[in-house]
Amino acid sequence: MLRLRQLPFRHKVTLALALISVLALLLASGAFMTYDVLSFRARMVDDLSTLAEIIGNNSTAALAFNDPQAAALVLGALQAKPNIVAAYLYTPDGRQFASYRGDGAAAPPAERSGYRFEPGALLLFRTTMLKGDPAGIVCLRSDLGELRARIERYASAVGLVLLVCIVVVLALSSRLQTVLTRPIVELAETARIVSQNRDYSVRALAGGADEVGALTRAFNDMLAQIQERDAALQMAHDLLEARVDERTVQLRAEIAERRQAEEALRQSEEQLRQSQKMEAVGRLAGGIAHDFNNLLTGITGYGQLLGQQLGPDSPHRRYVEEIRKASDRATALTRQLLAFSRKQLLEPKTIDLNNLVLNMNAMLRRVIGEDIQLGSSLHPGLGVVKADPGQIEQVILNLSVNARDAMPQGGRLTIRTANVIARAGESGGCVPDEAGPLVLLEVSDTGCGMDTETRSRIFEPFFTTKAKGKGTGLGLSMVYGIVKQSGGQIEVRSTPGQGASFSILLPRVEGAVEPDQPRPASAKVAGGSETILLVEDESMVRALARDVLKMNGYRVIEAAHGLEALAISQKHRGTIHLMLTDVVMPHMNGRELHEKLAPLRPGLRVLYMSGYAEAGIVHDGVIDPGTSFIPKPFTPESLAAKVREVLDAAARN
Amino acid sequence: MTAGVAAPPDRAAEPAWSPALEHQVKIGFLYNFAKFVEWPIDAFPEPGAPLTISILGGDPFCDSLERSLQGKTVNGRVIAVRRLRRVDPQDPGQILFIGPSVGKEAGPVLASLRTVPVLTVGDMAEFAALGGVINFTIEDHKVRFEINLDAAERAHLRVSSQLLTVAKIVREPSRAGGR
Repeated sequence: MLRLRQLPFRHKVTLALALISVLALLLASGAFMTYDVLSFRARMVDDLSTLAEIIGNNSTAALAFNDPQAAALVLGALQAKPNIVAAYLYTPDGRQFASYRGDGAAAPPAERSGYRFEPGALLLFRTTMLKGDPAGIVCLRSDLGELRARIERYASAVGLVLLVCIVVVLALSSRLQTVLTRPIVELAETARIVSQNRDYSVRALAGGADEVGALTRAFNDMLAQIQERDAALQMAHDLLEARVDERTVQLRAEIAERRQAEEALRQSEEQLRQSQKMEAVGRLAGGIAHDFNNLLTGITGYGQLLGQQLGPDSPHRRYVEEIRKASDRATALTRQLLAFSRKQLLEPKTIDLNNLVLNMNAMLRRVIGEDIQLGSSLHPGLGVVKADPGQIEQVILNLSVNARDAMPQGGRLTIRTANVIARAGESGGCVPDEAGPLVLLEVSDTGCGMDTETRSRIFEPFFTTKAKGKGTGLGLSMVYGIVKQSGGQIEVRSTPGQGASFSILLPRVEGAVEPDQPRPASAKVAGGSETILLVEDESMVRALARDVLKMNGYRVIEAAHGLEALAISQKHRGTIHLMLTDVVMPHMNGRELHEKLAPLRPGLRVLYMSGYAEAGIVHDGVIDPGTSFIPKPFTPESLAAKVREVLDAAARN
Repeated sequence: MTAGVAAPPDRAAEPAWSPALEHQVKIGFLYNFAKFVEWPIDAFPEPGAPLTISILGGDPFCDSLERSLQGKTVNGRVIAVRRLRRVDPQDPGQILFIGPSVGKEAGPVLASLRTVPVLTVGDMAEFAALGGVINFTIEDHKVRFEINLDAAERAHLRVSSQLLTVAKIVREPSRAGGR
């Protein structure tokens, strides 16, 4: 049984076919043979019975009249039937009456009727009737040779048919394999290939419409489904990978963006910190300059007065000259501090930077020396700007001096102008307040350059890289203040060893260039006799101003602050032609004082004096139109001239 | 008759021949004749009438005939036995046994019954020649009989061919002689 299971499928099919055929044939022929033998036996019995009847009928008279010889004659007729091996005749009471053949064997005991098969023979009894009465009994014995021969013939025929059947089955099974087993064998082969190679794209040959065909199709469908799922899985996997990659790229971009943002924040924080520092330093410098200006006004003024008192040949005149020089330098320093702190008074005009640079050419060449080449690249059709030309000259001069000091071995200094358009948020540290057309003024050198640390502190006051005594540390601070106060931006670009470049951007304005007003010749200042109300909280400055005014013939009424000035004005019966007042005072500033006094004394002129530009009369460093102003420190001449100018202007009006 | 027919074994056990046995055999034969012979329908006075065996002359069977055949039937007919002194040709019965005691008188009787449908059985020499149908003989101590087919035909009797196989068939000389 195990061996049978291990047989290949096609052999199983062949075996099953052969078995079924042989079995069917055996059953059929067995049934047929059994039926035939049975019917043949029945026929034999019938035949023998008929024969017995004939024999009996022919023997009735012999029996009735006790004539055994006649009976023997009748039985002798059986010679024509070779299968009858013996025949006996009995009287109705069972006595043997006659016999045929028997070969000496004893006659079987009589029976009324019936038959039985004995080994090799059929024995039959039959009672013969005569007119309703039994006349005698006939017994016939027939051999079964014919039956046996018949069975033998059948057996050999069946054997032959079996042989032919097996041959036909073997021949057919090879044909049947094509139809039956080959699809299964091929399917099995396909399944083996699929499982071995894991290749789900293989397909079995689709068979017919039978179960194997259905199985093949189902198998193919299954393969297709597996392939589909594989593909879907792969697709999902690829999609996931792609998403991971995409996300990774996004994350990298985000990280880079965040770093950039952090860097920008850091930079802007740094800028904020820087500008706050500059603001704080500027405020400090402004405060110092204010106080210094008051002090310097006294020093300069009294020094000058003292000098006027001394004769030309006085031995003390040299001392006074030294005081003047020192106070001039102090005044210059204080102005620079003011410039940095953006508290300087400006006189802005519509100017053309190209003209300004060209007019400075000769002076700049002297300043930078012979070892340095001066080049300029001035853009034709350059836009005009609104700025104080003297201050811009200071800027150019300071930057040129700075460049010269960066090129001790010589080099090249280039001044460039251009029209540029700035957009909001552009250009890093040089961010204009508003987008719009700008004018660029650039001063570059080929000097030693500077590092980042230096660059970040370059505009701080008193920061200098020059040898002690060579620079004040206020030059670039002043530049910074002037540019800022003029509504511009300044930026420095530099790499150590590769020079430096300072770019100044000023807002471009519409309008024609204003011509230079010819400065009045420094003639002897005329005096006057008008009454002047002097309001100044700083006693030294008040005293100097009173002295100067009195020396020029004016009547002077003094007040230390605004309230006092109001009180004096009430008491005073005469006309007050002019109020000369400080701007910054306790309790009430100059502007407020004038506003209170103006209704009480119509026609009162006012001249402000101040160390630096202050809210009230100055906006963005520019004096309000129609307002007269004299900056501290002033000289006696300049004060006298300004007072006379204001009084004369009032008289003209 | 032929060598092929062996004598039955029990044949030797039979009692020796005796007159009583001979009578008994003849009585059986008389009865059996009725089975092998067919009478015309007018031989019986009525359909259900018995088959009558008449005995003419002295009874050789000493009344054993009646005893032996008492209650027996042939073809549904009861066997009746009667004794006659004189034969009435109108009613001779179906079988007429003419005993040996009748002697010479048998001739005229048979002559009167020539065309009467009656089976005449005799037990004397020349009985067939006289126009009787069946006549008992003894051969080898055995009772045999002869049949005169001409007489049977004249009497309108149909004799079974089976009967002929065990009988000696005789023909009337006159007829054979073409009289």
